[in-house]
Amino acid sequence: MKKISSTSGRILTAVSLLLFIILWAVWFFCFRYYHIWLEGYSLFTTLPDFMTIYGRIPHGFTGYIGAFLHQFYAMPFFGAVIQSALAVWPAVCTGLMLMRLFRDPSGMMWVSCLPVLLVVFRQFWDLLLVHTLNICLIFTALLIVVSLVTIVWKPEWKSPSFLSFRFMNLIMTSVVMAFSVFILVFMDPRNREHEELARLEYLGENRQWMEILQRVSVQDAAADAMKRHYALLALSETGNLKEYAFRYGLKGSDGFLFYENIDPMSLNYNALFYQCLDMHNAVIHQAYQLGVQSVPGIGAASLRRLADTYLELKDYELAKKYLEILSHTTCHRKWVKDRLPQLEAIRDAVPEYGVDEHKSVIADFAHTLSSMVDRHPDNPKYSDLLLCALLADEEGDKFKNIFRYIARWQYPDGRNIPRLYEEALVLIYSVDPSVLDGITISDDTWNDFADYMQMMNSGRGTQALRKYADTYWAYSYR
Amino acid sequence: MKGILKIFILFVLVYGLSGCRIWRDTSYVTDVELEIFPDYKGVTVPCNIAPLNFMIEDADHVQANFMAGSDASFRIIGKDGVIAVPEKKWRELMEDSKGGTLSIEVSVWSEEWPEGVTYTPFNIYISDDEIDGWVAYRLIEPGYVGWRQLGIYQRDLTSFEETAIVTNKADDGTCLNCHNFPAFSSESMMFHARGANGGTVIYHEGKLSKVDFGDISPVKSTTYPAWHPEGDYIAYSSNTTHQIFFDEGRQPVEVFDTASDLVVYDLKNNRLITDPRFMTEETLETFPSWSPDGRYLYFSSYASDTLPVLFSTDIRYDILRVAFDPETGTLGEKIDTVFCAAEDGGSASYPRISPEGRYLLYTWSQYGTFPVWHQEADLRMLDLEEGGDADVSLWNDADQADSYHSWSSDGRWIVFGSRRLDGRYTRLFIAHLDEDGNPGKPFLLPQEDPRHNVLRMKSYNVPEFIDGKVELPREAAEIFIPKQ
Repeated sequence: MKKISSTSGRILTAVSLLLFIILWAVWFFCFRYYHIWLEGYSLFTTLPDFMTIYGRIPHGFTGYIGAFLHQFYAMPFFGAVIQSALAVWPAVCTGLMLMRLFRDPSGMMWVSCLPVLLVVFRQFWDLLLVHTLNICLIFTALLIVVSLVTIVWKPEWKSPSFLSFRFMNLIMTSVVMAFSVFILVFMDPRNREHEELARLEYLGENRQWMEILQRVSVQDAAADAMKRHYALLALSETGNLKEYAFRYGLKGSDGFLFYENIDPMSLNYNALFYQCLDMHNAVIHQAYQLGVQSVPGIGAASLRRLADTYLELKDYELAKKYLEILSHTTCHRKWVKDRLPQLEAIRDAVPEYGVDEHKSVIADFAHTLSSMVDRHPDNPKYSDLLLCALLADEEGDKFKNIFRYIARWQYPDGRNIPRLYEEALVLIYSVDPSVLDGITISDDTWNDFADYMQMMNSGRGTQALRKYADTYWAYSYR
Repeated sequence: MKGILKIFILFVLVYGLSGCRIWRDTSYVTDVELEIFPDYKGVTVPCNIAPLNFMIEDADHVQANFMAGSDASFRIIGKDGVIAVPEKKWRELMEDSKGGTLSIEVSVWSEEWPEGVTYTPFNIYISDDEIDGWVAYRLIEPGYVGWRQLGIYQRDLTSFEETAIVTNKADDGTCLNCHNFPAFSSESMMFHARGANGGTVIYHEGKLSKVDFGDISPVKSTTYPAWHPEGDYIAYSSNTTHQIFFDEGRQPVEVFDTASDLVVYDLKNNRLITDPRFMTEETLETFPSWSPDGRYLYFSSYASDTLPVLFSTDIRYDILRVAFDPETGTLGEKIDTVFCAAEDGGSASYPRISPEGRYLLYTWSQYGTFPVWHQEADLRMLDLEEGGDADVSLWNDADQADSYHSWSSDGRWIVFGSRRLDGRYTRLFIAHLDEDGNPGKPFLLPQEDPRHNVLRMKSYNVPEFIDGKVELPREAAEIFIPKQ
């Protein structure tokens, strides 16, 4: 065996460790939620159908390994370890090859850093890890070939003088580190944007609605549809929709859900939205659509949502099916075990899908929510979403009718009506005085409305709209 | 001392290598009915079927004694609760038991029965009637809008071999559906490819072609096919299909047509034969199916009072038939009503005539045209010779949909899709019909590992018996790839 230069070995170890630590820190601290999102989008199981799929797609082998690795991304610490290790591995291979081929390559070990960029350049959007793993496999294969060849043929090449500068080891490592950080964090702004959206998804899944509202500014909500959707959902879940819907940029009844988008984040948002409304059929529908966006036709996030939804529905057979499928993954044993008592408890239960006679077609938002309000007039979540949607569509008559319908349950004494509704009712009152029969509008709203109208009528419209920017009056004037 | 140690080590090795799978004696006997999955108790199976492997849930140890008549034929010790019969042994057993009964005595060790219990043997009836060797079907996620990987597959019913006939792996934006074969022949096949470069792909007489019906007729697309048994024609319905989703209830989706007509494609002359009677807006015709002699075309039909046709639970389909002359490719004057929804109640889909022409098997549902999403959907059968209904209630599940079905070439077996396992994933069941018209209890398509029936994440669609393995040219999987 060829004797390995100990100095080169130490330099390679130092370079690799340094790169690994920096990359790990970037992945862990800057893209923590990206890892969690990626785990949900992917799926690895030992079921035969799953292996058949990866046997078929291009790059099936690396896709299969990628799916296996993605399971561990649920813990961002390990996700960052894997991402960093995969990026550094070609550098390690290159360094070892140099050491096999050259007598003393210590001055040119910086060359081994360069392949890191090959991985890092496309690593963020390499959602199946196919590109990353292919590069790792190529470098591994090269290392094996070089190692085998140098067992019988022992080259003692001298390092080319134009490449051999010890100070370059430090400089190039630093450059590659800096460039890697630049590529991951700054070069493509979509990366950080995706991380932010993945964070909102995580917060939503964990019902951390106040955190969502803290993270999404009014400006963010105006600029980004996904952030706006999450903010509106957070408002709905915290009971604040009827106060701030228009502050967060609600522009129409189609502003609560994604209808055309079929990307995983939009579909997952839709599923979460319906889950918050306990509309199980719609949750299942969206979860299946989300599933087919994943390579195996179903992702871990979809499977978990389906399992939980069927548990809630007390549908034993389907809950059991999805839990069994998840038990064939590496990292869901505990998740499944935690739910087995719940599964056992519904073994003989009658599934609770609701009554078929009362079912309604899921159509446009207002129609769907009208149906829910009709069946659950005392549920403020449904009515607030519907009333805000109608206000956003400037459907005054429909708003008036629905409001009067739900007021019997939710505002029986005609008082303490939410701000947005008061503003809408006051506006409608000018054309239909009967709208306030039995309803008491607060003095503050009357005073504000008088002030607003006075400003509008005295040529100070811009100031009025600025002062009352969150109001329905400003929205309807726009 | 050393000798004892050697024997001990040998024992440990043998015991260890055998995976602790030794035949045990139970302490108890019970006449409580054994729960096995799949439920093969009392089923009638063809003598050439693949081994009926089954499992006992929550069993720590399970063993089964297979007995042909009163003789003990062989014993199987289960693994992970699964009794898996080696194919060679099973084949011999089937040969010995043909026309008779196979009795299986199962013993189980579990938390409930730590000392083991032996259950009263259950029977499987082995019919002399062989089943066609293969069945073709589509596998797709039951998500009812999007898809990812899907394909048309074939399964050797005498073994566990499953192979792809054609898949969309070359372009997962393409949907493949509605495969069909003429008179069970594996030599010819058609399927639709829906996508940017889609069309109807036909493999016939060794030639592969893709037909775009919009190029040869005003009919834009075709849907449900029925290949004429003589091979020269394919009848199609041309459907405008919609789906709606429900926010509550066990049925999540309803699929319905707002228009559907009947056409016949003449393969020899590459022309589409239309008949104005079956092209009207006010009548929906769908699910064409030929009589075995090819002289009649059966189909489901709904005559609407309103235009355009919109979804309603009042839409109920009749079964009609019209004569067909294969020489001229013309449809006859007279249209017969075989099943009248107004008189008989409900709605009829997928009319299929048995190969000897005696029975008409169809799917009954309360209303509509897509029974697979209707829990009440059941198979029903008309006796065309005697008149009236033939009782096949044994084939149906009371709570879940039983729908798409097809006859075997000898008319002794049917394969049908049922959602009885979990209500969402369609699985294939096979049932016997003896020469006197008596149905046998259906059995789930056997799998090498019975758990595969549960863990498979795709639904089976459109099972069709075929006489052999389909081998399409490689281009069949590429002909629909969108051009760059």
